Amino acid sequence: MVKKHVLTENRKAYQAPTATKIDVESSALLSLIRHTSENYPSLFSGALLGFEDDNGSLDITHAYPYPYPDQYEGGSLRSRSGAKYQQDILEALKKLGYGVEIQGYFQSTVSGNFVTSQLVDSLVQQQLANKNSFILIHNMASIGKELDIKALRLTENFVRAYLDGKWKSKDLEHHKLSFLNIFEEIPINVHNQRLVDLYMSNLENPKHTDDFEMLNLSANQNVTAQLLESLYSQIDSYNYDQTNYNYYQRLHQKEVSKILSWKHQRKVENMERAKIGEKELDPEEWRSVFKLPTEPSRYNNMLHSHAIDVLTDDILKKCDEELIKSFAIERKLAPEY
Amino acid sequence: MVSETSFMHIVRPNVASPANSSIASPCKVKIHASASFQILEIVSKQILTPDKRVIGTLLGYRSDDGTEYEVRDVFMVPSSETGDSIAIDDHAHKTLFQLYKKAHPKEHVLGWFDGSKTINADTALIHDFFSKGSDRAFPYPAIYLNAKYLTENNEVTTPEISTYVGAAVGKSGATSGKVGWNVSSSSYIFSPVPNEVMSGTASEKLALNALTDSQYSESPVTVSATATDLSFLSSQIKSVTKTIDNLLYYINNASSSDSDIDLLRLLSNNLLDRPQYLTDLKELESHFRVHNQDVVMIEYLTKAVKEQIELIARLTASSEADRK
Repeated sequence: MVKKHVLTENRKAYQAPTATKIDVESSALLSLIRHTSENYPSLFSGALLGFEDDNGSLDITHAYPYPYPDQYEGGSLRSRSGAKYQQDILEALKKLGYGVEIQGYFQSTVSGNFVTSQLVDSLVQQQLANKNSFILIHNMASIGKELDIKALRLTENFVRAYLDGKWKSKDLEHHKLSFLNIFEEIPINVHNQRLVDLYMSNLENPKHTDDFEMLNLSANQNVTAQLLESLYSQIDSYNYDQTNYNYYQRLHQKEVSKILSWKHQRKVENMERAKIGEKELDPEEWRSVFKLPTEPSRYNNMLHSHAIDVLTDDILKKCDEELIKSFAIERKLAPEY
Repeated sequence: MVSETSFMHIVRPNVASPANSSIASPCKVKIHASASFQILEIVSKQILTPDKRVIGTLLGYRSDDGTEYEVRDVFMVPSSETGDSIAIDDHAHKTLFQLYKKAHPKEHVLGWFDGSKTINADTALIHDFFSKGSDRAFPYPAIYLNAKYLTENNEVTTPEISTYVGAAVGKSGATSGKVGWNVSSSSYIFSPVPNEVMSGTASEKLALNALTDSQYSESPVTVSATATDLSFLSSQIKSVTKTIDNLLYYINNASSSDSDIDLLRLLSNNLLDRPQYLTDLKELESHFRVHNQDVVMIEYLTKAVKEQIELIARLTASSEADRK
């Protein structure tokens, strides 16, 4: 009862986000990329600090990683030590005269593995506390070759369903929710301060020579193997959840057929009774006799589906790249073909 | 920025510090791109208060022999100058450093930076603060980084980052360890040391390249790659093609100078000198075919999984919608 009360209160507190884009200061972005990529394959998360400006964008000026690596994605976001650390940082920065607040988080991950219930839980809490909260996901599947960072927040559909706390297919349909719209992406802009711009344009050779690591044939081999590994384990979890659901479906089927035969029997009975002029029995009585099994929650199914979706996208991309490279090289080797 | 090669280390400044490197080799400062941006962001406040110095702490690694420094992060330290004394917020410095240390246990305070136009008596005072005491550069010598971007008339020019080590002049120990100093108590000679901007990981380089590209175009920089987007690959391939074109152009217009002939020789040697397995085209072809088939197989199966998952979700949704 108490919990329900809290939930209804939270529901009132949910406000649709107003921020339409995120401006990240180049220094903050670079230092966060450095921290996450240096510590790869350890996972790291941290707080993003900045302020909200008047024309609907969030300006992120500082990024501070949490002191310890994460066991799994979203692990530190609700930990007490993480919360304390970010609070201390915030206070220290405020003493320096910075008008910043905590605006969001970042999390390093490999492909779709970031979709954990811990991460989602803490993101819901954050979005209820601050409507414009978001999480910056640094996908390190292409580390050393390509940069993949995106800013995500939970959709309104998801948060409303989460607050209802019911995850049956009916509820998902009611909220128009599927694994495809758990998250929505917010565009990121990188912003340079004028002085930084001036400095950069005067550097002698600002551009690093491109690393063509990405163009090596089979450069993705290890990553693809790792992604497939993750995909297997996600499919395993998905199947585990699916067996529960299949059990429910069988049970449901059985009960439904029982009800049908009962209904049929009652119909025949009533016809006979009508013949001998007796009063008809209630044809709806089956509702009290039979009880349909309750559908298990589809929540985990949805999270796993989303993870699988992101993973497959990444794997397909790796395969496409590999094929392009492979065909290009093959052509050059054998010009007669 | 002063390039490294333009330095002639005639006499290494005699930096008096207990853990100073014994070898009289030149010392070098590497600044991470992110740190240099942060420094500029912090000192940009200098223009608002031209008379008040904006200072901060440099954090990072130093090599074991104390000859190489790597500036990885910085933070601002509040300070106020009143007449001929200067007060540095020791507490703020300590708190931020302790917090930073938690997440980066192997990093130390390396020194400090400011954005002032000149080196004067106050510079020595602040240097003294960062050279001594716990939670500062002690027992190693502190480095001083100056990001100058204001001219004498307080006009903004291109920022110039220079680094120095300070050598104490006169009797050591004359300074008191309190927060307020007297100007006459300590003096330093600041000798410039070379510095360079660097970026550590490949990901950082990629981000930096994207940022420099944006200098010449008006479109905002974004760093999110959508999963199906192969634009990065194509841009890389384009860049390789361009390099080859440049090379071809150069070869066609090559002179008969020694260096050019050496280059041509190198190129032709490289082209002729190919591994044995590259000569058997048939064998190679079959390898490629097998490889491509493997990749296509992975792609096919993955695609099947993806479609299946989507199909389940859509079927569930539509059956629920029908039930209403």
